[in-house]
Amino acid sequence: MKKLTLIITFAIISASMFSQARKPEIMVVPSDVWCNSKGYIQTYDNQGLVEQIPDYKKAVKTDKELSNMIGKISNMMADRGFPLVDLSATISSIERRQAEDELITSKQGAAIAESPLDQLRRTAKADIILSLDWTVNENGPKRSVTYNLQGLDAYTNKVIAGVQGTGNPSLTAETAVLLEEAVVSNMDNFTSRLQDYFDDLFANGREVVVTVRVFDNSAGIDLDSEYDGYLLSEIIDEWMADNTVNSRFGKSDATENYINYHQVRIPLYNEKGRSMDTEMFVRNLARYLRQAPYNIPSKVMMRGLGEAILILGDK
Amino acid sequence: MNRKITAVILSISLAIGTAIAGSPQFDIECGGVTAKEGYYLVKVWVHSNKKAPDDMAIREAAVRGVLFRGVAPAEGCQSLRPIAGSQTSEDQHADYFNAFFNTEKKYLSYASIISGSYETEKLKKKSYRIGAKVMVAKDQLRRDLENAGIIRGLSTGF
Repeated sequence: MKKLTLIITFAIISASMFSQARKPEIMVVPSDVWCNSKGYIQTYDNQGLVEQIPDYKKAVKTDKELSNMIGKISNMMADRGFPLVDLSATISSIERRQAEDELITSKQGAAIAESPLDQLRRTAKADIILSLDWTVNENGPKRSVTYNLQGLDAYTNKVIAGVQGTGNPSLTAETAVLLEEAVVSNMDNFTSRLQDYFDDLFANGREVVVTVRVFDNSAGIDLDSEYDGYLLSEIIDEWMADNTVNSRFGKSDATENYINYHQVRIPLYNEKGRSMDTEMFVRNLARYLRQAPYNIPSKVMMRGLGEAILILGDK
Repeated sequence: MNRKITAVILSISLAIGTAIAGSPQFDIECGGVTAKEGYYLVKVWVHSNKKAPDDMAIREAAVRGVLFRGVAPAEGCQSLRPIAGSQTSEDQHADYFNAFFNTEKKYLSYASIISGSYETEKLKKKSYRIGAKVMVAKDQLRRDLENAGIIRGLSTGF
């Protein structure tokens, strides 16, 4: 009897543990505008095109105000049960990976192409990016701080929460104090909006983008191919309706060669209670289409965190 | 005579109604920007028929405002959203908030009046608007409400 009670208790605890969604990872980064105004910019060669991107490493290592602001926001988010992914640690991790990648390059002779921003996103795997920006305004002897904090969903790049405003001008307060006031007085409104986003996430699922394409090969498959009197595109639509939260998804464009689904609301966890991401969702679709009567081989590719591309007709 | 009796009955019912409703009539706005973490500095105006300030009513109004109404912008700070969502939250958790505000008066531990911040405005005969700045321990208040299951925490569900 005791054994049975133990087994039941263990099963209940396990079920409750697995039924929880993965806590989103959040990371604070200085905004592009702020990095530009402070000169924390680096250039990189994107396949022949010279691009300017923020130099986070230089900003983190040299700007004391930035590290204070990030530290303050991190502490306040940790108090609310959300320890943040540390930008500085992430940059160190990227450098370590880069060193490894360079070794791979020298052995195989082929470079691993990835933009610095892609590296940051891939390494940090942050679900939400907090983009931080501030300006110290001077009007005669008075100083004030204009503060802007935006939460971006890394899956969709949509702004999900934001606060901005200018504090009271002060004759005496140091910049550090004005900045601290800006963070402290705005953080509650910010987390309140973040809470609205999480509530929506629980109610309606995570928003992602799914693209279906067709390999141009001799397989002879396109999205107008018919199975039991239905077009392949209709079959995929039906699967999407069955597997999205409340059948919520939009179709922005479609031809016989591709379908672009946007605002696809995927569940936060699958039927086994495990955390669901865009790749897992699209792999389920690939698995469905691999079965009879369709028997379609396919390849799944990821673009960022929130977009998956399913290419039909080959692996 | 009948009119007098009706007037008396109406006044008594109004007084009883106000007593049952319990909450003071008040306005709340930001009392200034503070770098003191975990606290809101708010300015509360309580309507009263007495000139002397009622500290308990002022503290209750401050906590009620922070919980259910939010804080209006003033003194260079932005508006603040209500911690408990809205007034409907009080009705949904009537038992908890009845003890919180009436029987156990727990709200008193979250609000303290800044000394020397009282202001009194006479609106009309026997009608005053009494203001004071109050420091509300909003982080502690939020944590306690989260632990009691009255409001959702930011990480609830994850």
